[in-house]
Formats: sequence, structure tokens, C-alpha cells
Amino acid sequence: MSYSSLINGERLFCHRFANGLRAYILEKPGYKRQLATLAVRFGSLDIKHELIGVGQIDVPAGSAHLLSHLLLEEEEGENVFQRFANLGASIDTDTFKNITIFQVSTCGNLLEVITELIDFVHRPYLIPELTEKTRKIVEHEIRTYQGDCRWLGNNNLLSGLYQENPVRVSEYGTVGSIRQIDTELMLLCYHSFYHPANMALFVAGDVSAQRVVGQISKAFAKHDHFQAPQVIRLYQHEPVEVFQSKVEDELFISRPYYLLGIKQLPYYQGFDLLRHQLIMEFVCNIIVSKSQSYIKELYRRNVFDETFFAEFTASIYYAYLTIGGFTTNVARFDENLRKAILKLKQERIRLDHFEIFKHNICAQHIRLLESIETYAIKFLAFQFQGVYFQDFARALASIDQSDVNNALETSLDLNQATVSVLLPDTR
Amino acid sequence: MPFTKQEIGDGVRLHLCDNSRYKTITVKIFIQQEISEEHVTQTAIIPFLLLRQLQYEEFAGVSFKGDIIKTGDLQIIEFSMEMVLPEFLPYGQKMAKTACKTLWKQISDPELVRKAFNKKDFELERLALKNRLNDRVNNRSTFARYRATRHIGYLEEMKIHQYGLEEYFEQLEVEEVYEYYKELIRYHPIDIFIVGKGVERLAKVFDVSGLNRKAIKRLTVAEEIPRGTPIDCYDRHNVEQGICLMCYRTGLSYADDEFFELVVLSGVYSRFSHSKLFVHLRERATLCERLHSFIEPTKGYLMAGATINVRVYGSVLRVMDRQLEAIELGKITPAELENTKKALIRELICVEDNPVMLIYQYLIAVINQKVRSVEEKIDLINQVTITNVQKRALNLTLDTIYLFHGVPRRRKK
Repeated sequence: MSYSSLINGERLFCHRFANGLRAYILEKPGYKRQLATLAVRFGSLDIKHELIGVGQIDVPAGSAHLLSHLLLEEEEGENVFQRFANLGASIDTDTFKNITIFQVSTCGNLLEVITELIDFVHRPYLIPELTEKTRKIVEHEIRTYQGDCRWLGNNNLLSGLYQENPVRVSEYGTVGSIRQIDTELMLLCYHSFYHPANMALFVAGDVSAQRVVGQISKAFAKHDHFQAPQVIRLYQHEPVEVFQSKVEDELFISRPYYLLGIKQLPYYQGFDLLRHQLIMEFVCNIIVSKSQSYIKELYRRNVFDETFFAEFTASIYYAYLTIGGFTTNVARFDENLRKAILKLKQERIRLDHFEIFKHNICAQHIRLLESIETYAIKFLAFQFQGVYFQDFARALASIDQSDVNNALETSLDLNQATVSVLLPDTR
Repeated sequence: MPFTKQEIGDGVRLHLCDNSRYKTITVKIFIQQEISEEHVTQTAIIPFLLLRQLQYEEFAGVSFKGDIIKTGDLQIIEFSMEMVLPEFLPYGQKMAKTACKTLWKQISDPELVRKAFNKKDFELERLALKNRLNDRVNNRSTFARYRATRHIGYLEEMKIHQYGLEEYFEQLEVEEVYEYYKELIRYHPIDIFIVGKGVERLAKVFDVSGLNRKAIKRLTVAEEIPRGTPIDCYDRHNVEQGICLMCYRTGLSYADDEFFELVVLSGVYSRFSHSKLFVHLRERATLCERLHSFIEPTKGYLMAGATINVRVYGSVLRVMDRQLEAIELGKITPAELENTKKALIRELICVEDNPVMLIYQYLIAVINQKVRSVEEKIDLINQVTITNVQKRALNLTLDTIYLFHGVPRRRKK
């Protein structure tokens, strides 16, 4: 077991078990909440894979998400929610691009909760009646998200930016795609992906890492593990060009919602990916800050308002920058944003501004550490790509002005851009 | 108690929570008033206008925010400052003090142009406020809750949205807003909360001697005006999923000890994944994925509902009625009661991890003039019996059944 010291006496322990499971334990002295997050490396990107000895398996969009819901079901109408409620804990599940997570929040009985969490993922009860029932609930969820402007705008943006990469497909799939999923397929997915070597566990709270590791060991010892199947994830070649330069849609919203996405090639892995993510966070901070007079002027004229944002999403499979917000005038917003980007490309960041942004990024990371649910998910999603948040300080320290200047010059390529606009539908 | 309280001026209360476990320093300043059609809109523009001039870029690692919140019939101006602990920033100690001073200067002694706020800024904030008000629809859950509140409180001031009334935007005058700001800062209750490590030394920054505070307004929570017969009401828009909310008067508020019986009732009925509605509406009948549950602590009304397909509205209402009837008949299992208590106690304990939630929870207690320790609240929850929950359910008065719905007709170009 190795550990890194974080801040305020917090320590992060890492341990790899013989069965392949990776565990990360964040000791947070004085913290009341206790959290256990189990991640399975099976997300919405995983729609094509090859099972050695079986052949190529294509699964409909939303399979990972539907399976996560199904695993919460138990025999005779019982469910996992009830089991955790009996322990005074609550469980949540969600699916992201590369992982599915089961997150349990509790207070005072973490070791029991960890055992229960590990037990239930080993106890699938997959029968057609429950698949059907779960599908109905997930259909409600999909329809609810389709009415959420931020979700829909982002989903449309990705479907315009990418031609083949499954990042363009929603984490939840569609009502149509999940209707193609049957119980056999769910069983196949379960046996392909739900194996300790394909899982990671993040535990946080005022706990002893040694005791947590002991408990995880005990909990896994109860379960027989089948031989981990060899899974080759198949990702199709993604052309450099965007699929569509503009995607327009309508929704019941107050005013247009505009997003500009800029596609990048996913060059980086491991520490370099973390470093690139941080360099792009400088770029995002520069875009939304008022440090540049022309951007300040756009805020002053209310072209940009408090909804204006920029964020960068990095992965070993895809990378893109999103800039946008609500506007009352799409053409004006688009024109001004593009002009500002062209100016930014020629910009050289001042040393004093560089230092301020560096401290802002450090502060954002410290705040993220306080929002432990989100931290756990990001940590787990990244560690499956060889990126470790404990390297944050080293990565940030390695960045200088020239890295940021270079990123400003090269990463804001409007020839690689897609615009997603949601227009108000007032019918 | 997590906070120590000092009266640092007439009607100005300083609440300090000096605790080294937080990695941030959080400052929140609240100015309260009774919400009214006359003043709501001019008040709503003030925090945004005051903070507009702040040069955020000078403060690395610090964030400032202004907003307007509401509880019961009160409209509350909120100013926030949050920064990571000084030791994580260069010149951090100095920065913490400077950031607090700057925030307080913006609030208590803002820069003026010809004895009023800057007119250009004012015009831009007027537009921003209008957008902010209209943007409410973009969050379906809070919009549905706001619309339902308008119906429940149709005879009460709580029906007014904290961001103001659209018809008043055009009439706003910069001079009048400035005059009203002076009134607010001089005569209305102010609560200052500071949470973090070593925050006592920041307290001195908040000097109120120059505010000429006097004759501080005593704010009251108006009596509720119950409706005779429950009503059904709806908003129809082009949305994929509707939201249905059953709204009940409870006759209680946070100040009453019985309020915790109501909290347990809400937990048994709709709040958690072991609650009756989750089990029966979602897991058994598969009529929804998302449930809604809300208690307004100051006026004490309760909402429960779900995001639904409008075609199954009738079935949803039947399940909701049936489950509430079960509670009225005392059909609550010991596990339902105990699991609810455990979940509520967990939430109460974990609030301490989050400075923002801690402040909001304490503010509600201060406003309702009933400050209880976590232990006292846990005791009140632990004392609740099945009979208490049954009695609370029998005392609910259905006021409004609200439905936000529409027929989906989206198209993609």
C-alpha cells in the first residue's frame, strides 16, 4: 500500500489487490460523511468489443446504464436501496463515458457498507421481468434528460463534433436503443465487465485505510471469481473533421442556449494527459475571465453573462473544449465569441495573470476535494486512463507561461468547431 | 452549537464558526426584508449591481457572488465570498482580509456616480435581472415548485418570486433603487456568517459603525391564509415530461418541535429511496424515475410529487393518494420509520461537512427564532413515533394539485 499526503492532514492510500481490484482510500480527519464509490470500467463508450473465444459483441447505446439499474434489483421484489436504507446509508448509481459507478453515502458504519456494496454487485438477479421493469423506469429518466437544456445542448454538440467515436452517444442511450436490450445481453455484459480487475473502489471519510483494506479483502474473499474474460474494446477510427458544423434544436427554454465545441485529437496519456487537462484549464480560465479587455467589454455589454462558461474534457479517446451560455441573440454571441477566440489565439499571457490563474486552478482543485462525491467520480474515471489526481501538484508546477501561450495558439482551431444551438420553443 | 453569535451593531448579528477542518473560508451576508410587490424588484437588482464593480481578477483563489433567496414571506439579499485557506495561497492572510474588506466596502459603501449607482451598470443589470427571471423555466423542478407556490400562496406575499415582477422592470429608476438600498442597509436585519479556520480575525473587517443603524425593522412571518377547497392547476408547455406536485398546508413551521414529525412524515412518504412513493410509484408501478419532496421551513407547506409522463397522471395521483391514506391509517412498518430516522440523522450530521449548507440551515433557524443543536434535532427525530407520523398525515390539508406538462413536439434540423 502506498500513500500520498494531500492537504489539511488528509492522506490518500492506494492498494492493488491480488484479484486486480484497485482501491483508493482518502483519510479525511474530522469529516462526518463516509463515502464508498465502486467504479466498473464499463461506460457508454463501450458499445463494441471483442470477447476472446466468443467474438465481436455490439451492444445498443445505454447498455451500461441499464445494467447498473438492473443490478439494484433483487429476488422477490427486494432491492438494494432497501438494504442500504437498513444500514442508514443511501446508494446512487450513474453511468459516464468510461465507467459505471455505485456510490454509497453513510455516516459511522462504513465497513459494513463496503461489504454490502461488494456483495450486491456479485449477486446479479437478471430476469426478463426485471429487465422490462427497469427499462420502463430508465425510459422516464431518458425523457426527463431530453427536457434538460444543458444535457440536450451538450449531447447535440457531441453528435455534431464526432462522426464515429461513441462519445457522440448519450450515456443513457435512447428510448429506442434500450428497447433492443434483453436479459441475455445484460448477462453477457455483466460477465464481461463486472470483474475485480475491471473495477476500482474509492473510499473517503474519517477512517483508517488499513481497516478499509482489510474489510475489502474479507468482502471479496466470500465471492468466487470466474476467470476474467479477455475483452478488447473496439473503437472505430475517428476522422479529424467534425461531423456537422451546426446542430440546431428546439426546447421549451427562456432564451437560446449556445455551445461552441472545438474538437482536438486525443494525443495524451497518463501524466501528460493530466498536464494537458490543466493547461487547458488555464485556457478556459482566460476565456471566461475579464483579464482580457475585449472579453471584459463583452461582459460589460451583456453579450456574455453569468451563464457564460468554458470547460475542457480530456480522455485518451477524445478531447474537446466547450464554450457557451444563454444568450438573447445567437448571431451576436457567435460573432463576438469567434472574434474573441481569434484575438486570444494571438495573445501572450502576462506573468501576473499566469500566476493568478495558477492559484485559481489550485483553488478549484481544493474545492473539488471538498465536494467528495464529484471528486471520487472524476478520480475513478481518470485512474482507468492512467491519470492520477495525486500528481496534480506536480503537473501544475510543471506548467509555465509558454505552455499556456502555445495552447492558446494551437487549441482554439475554429475549423474544428461545431455549434449547438437550442432555440426556445414557446408552443 | 457550531456558531458563536455577537450583536455587532443594531440588528447586525455576526455568526462565527472557527473550525480548522475546512479547507475554505466562507463568508455570507444576508439582509432580510418582508417580500412585497412594491419593493421586490428594486431589491432584486441590488446584490448584482453592487458586485458588478468588483475586480475579481485581483483575487486569486477567491470567488464572490450575489444572489436573492426567499424563505416564507421573506426576501433575502445574499452576498458570498469563498476562498481556499490562506496557507494555500501566496499572501493568503493578507488576501483573506483584503477580500473581506472589498466585499464589505461594496455592500456598505459602494462607489457612486452623482450620488447614485452608476446608471450604465444599472441599465445592464436591469436586462440581466429580466433574463434571470425568465431563465427560471430552464430548471424544470424549481420552476414547478415556484409555480405551485404561486397557487398555494395566492392570497399571501410568498407567491412573489424573489427575482421580482416583470411588469416592474421598466419602471425601475436608478435613483429610487439607491434610496431603497440606503433604507435596507440602515433599517433591516443583517446576518453575517463566517466559517473556516482562524476566521475570528476577519470579524473586525465588518465594521458597521458607519451605517448609522437605527430603528431596525422587526420582520414577521405572516399567518397563512388557507384555501377552502383544494384546486387543480396546471401550466402547459412543450415539454417531454411533466411534473406533478401535491401541495399540503401543515400548520407548522421550523419553530415548532412538531416540525420534526413532519420531516419524518415526508421521509416516510416521499423523500428517500425506501419511502412509500419511491417503492410504490417508481419501483412497483414504474410510473416515474424521479421523485420530488420539499418542505418550506418558514411557512411549513409540504410538496410531494414526481416527474411523469402526463398520460399516466391519473394513475400517479391514485398511487399518491393511496400511499398517504396508508400513512393516515398508521400503516407504517417499523423499518420504514427507523430507516427514515437513520437517513435524516445522517443528513443532519453530514451538514457539518459543508460550510454553505451549514450556514443556510442556521439562517433558517435564526429567522424562525429557534436555534437547536444537532443533538437536540436528533433527539426530536428519535422521539417521533408511528402515531406521531399518522397524526401529522391526518393534519395535512391538501391545498393545490399542480401539474406542469405539455405535448412533446421537438424537431431537429
